[in-house]
Amino acid sequence: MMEEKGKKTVNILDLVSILRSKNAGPLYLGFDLIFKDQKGYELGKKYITKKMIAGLYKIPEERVADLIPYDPGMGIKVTITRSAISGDPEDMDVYGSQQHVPLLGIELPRK
Amino acid sequence: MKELKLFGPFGNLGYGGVSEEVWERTMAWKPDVIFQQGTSSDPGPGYLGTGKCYADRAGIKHDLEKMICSALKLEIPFLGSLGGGGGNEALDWNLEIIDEIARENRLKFKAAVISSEVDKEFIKEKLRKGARAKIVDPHSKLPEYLTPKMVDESKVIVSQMGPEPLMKALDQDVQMVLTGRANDTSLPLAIALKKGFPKGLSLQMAKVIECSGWAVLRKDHILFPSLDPQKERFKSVTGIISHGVFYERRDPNRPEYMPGGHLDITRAKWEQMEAGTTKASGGVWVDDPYTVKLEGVKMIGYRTICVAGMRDPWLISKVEDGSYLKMARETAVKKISEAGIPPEDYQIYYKVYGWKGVMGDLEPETKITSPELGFIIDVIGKTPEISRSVCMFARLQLLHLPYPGRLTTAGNVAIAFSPSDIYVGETYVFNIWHLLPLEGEEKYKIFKTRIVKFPRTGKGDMK
Repeated sequence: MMEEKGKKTVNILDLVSILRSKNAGPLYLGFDLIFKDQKGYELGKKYITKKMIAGLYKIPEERVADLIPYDPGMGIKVTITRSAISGDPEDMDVYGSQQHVPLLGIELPRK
Repeated sequence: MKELKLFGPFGNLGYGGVSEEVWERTMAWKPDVIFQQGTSSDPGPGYLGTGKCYADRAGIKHDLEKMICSALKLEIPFLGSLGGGGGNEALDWNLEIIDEIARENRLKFKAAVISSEVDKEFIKEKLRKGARAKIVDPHSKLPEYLTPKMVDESKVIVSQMGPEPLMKALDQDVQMVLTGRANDTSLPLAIALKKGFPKGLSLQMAKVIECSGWAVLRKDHILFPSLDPQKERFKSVTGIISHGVFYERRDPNRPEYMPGGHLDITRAKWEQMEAGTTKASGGVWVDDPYTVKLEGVKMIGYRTICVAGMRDPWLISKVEDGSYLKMARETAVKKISEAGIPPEDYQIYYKVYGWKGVMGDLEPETKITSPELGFIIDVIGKTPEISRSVCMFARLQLLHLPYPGRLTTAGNVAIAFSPSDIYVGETYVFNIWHLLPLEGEEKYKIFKTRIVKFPRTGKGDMK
């Protein structure tokens, strides 16, 4: 984990080795946050909430269907409903693989 | 059987990606089975709708030839799912390729072919008798329960196959089992169950290598060796888990739902061994009611597109405030009506790269920051002719819109191609994504199995 002087928070990019989005079936989008180490994973588990995800995407919290940690993989899986079903004329990301960007803004307390 | 060695070569049938060196190493490793998934809903509804595969013929032939020749040489079974979306048309197209491979290599073999396109009458009859087919995951754009009308509206409906029909097919004297749409896990799972390995552990193994990989399945654990040093994801526990457990699923603790049950790995163990091998155990099978997932698509019309770009900063500011495309649409609709095409016969979508083109309503950026914009005019028309005409009018208005105050009276956008409009064709959307409950023998009857001898002597032996 990189330490910046005077900064009380740490950006998610300093903590994860994988941060991606992908279809979870054509109706849902899944986000995978795989952490580099146990310390970062614990911070993620402690502070990342459905409310935080809803805030980053400016969507109602009900659209965040799941937020589930998996300890053996040091990863958190977040799932939201897609706005348009995969491949609908309104959809522009059939595989759902470029929808993760707002997550890059996650800042977590260092403790 | 003390252990079962499984090999799934390619990330997707037709995509290749296994070097000669890795192939030879794997053959010397002596797998007991080769399996390959070649169906998916991930590339969207267009493939099931049009009956085309998402991989091309040359790629598919290369991969099938490699696997079939090796499996016959080692005298081990080959299990493969074929046909993109998994409908009969694409499955048959793959069988023609296999026939060609048999002839060219002077090979003789027998395959059980299991199709997964479902008879609409069968579904409607079940619904009439009171069966309730619930949506897999709730979504505002699809009804919670399947109706006969939705079945009628579908062009093609496939059912995702569990391991049972494959296991039954393996009882027959065949060298291969070739399926239409199947759970990717069904292929390695079928052979593991057939050899008597426990269901939970077998599914844990299948989940990790469904999209390619190597596994050694034993009575109480699985080993995932890495035979390809280039593939990082096979070299560590995190790689195995991020790819095999997290990918494309909602709940990493329950990463695979099959007909009749699901995998629970809440208490699974994953250990790093030497030389990059991962050892895993603890996967548990949990029984659920027996349902199959139905995937259906309906046609919504015919698509024509036009690609264009915009660089003028003042015009871009008018795209950002919404006024430019509003006027372009209204003017186009007026001209199209004058040409005799009513608004209910088509839809125009303006897709703007550089302005919510990728994320749509999930886009957090509130200003255009790019110096240029890319447009795709996307037209869905009731007929091919309407589609083409509407795209032409929409293109004209994007190009020559007399937006008040413009300086660019020779053209407001850069048209990318000549001819400018690209006719794409039949356009589909998913309209069924529901779980159909099955009883007793229905789990076999819904899929049609036939034995095919390759090389085929004619169309007759297809029946």
